[in-house]
Amino acid sequence: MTKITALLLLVAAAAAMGGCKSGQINLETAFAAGKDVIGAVKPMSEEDEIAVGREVAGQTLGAASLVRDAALQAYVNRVGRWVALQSERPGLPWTFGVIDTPAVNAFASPGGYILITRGLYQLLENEAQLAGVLGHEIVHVVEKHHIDVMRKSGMLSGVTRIAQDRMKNNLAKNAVGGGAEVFARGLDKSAEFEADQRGVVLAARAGYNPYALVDVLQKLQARGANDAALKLLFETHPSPTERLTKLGETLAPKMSSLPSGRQPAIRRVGAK
Amino acid sequence: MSPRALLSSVFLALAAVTSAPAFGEPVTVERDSTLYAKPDPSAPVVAKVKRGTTGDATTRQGAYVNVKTPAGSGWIVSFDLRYGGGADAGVDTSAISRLAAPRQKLNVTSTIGVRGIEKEDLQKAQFDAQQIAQLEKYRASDAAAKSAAAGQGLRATEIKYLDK
Repeated sequence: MTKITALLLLVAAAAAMGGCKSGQINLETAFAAGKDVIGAVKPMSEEDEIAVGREVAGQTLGAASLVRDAALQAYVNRVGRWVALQSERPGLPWTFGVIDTPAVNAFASPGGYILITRGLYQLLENEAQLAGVLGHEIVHVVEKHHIDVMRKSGMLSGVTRIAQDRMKNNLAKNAVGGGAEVFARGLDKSAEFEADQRGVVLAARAGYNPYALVDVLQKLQARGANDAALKLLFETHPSPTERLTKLGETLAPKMSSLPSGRQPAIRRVGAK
Repeated sequence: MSPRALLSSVFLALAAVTSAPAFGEPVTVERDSTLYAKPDPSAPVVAKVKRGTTGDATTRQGAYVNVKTPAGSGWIVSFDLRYGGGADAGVDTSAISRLAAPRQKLNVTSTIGVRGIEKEDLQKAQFDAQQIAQLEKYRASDAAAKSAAAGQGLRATEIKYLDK
């Protein structure tokens, strides 16, 4: 069935369901409804994905602004970009930031916008652990985990194409509807486990010690669910224990295929 | 060189070759596992350890952690260990978290008075145009990323995903 045929059938259905008053059909409303249904099921363009991700990241920054340390931000972007280059979507406009909150968390917006909190950053002992965390978030973007959640929860409207930069921004705002809220909902456990397993590999591809993410998960596990700084993390992710168990089950038989990797020193917040 | 300077040099040298402080962190073995004489699966086996075995972890190296247990001391794969006393129940007595941030000791019903980003903050958050513009200015180019990686001795390697 062609798209035109599908659209016409949907218009007819929409008209039959709600467009009729006193025998009249509002074709404009019916077409809009038809387009929304089609937009909801067809893949989103990369341009739209980036626009939506920018909006979500921009809202997240409304909750906590960037740490005022330009050298730190530049450093995290170099590390993140290097790890992202090992992924299946190296051409996205990968953008990384450390946001100023003691909360321990990280946020991956569609299109390649990734934010980690100062609280999480300060837990990290070396650059391999940073690479592991960023690798996990990069997988969420590559696999479009948050786009899927937004689509299924009705947070995205059926926008199909954004023509101009200004129109793009306006439509993205209308389309997203409380975008940063997606991080309050959390993802399916399977998405988190996939991000752990594939994040380890991305870090390994980039030359880092692949087990550094295990170290980070053990730190989170040791901090525990009663730590206020980890409240949202524990509410929206499987427990670190469960993640460590799943990751261990995957890693154990494959250790010989992973190189030992390096773990350079990490740049500290406020370092000269 | 004075004795104090010599001692400092030795200490610094020791610290440089390990990736964790040289004091024991309490750990529990999560599944039946193996202690090796070196951080290498081809090294001689020191002991087999059962799930639930407790010990003190000192040094990390790659995939392995050096642990002292009642069955002996040796290297065990890191993902077979859990740190601290209460895991996800939140009893925080581990040295890792003491290292990570200066905090008070917790009991299971108390929380630190640190408020981070919570659900309500995300639900009410408003788009910050200035911050997103600033964020985008920090983007690194492929060349800058590759150059920085090369400076750290990092080389790209082809590795398949483990779940494939």
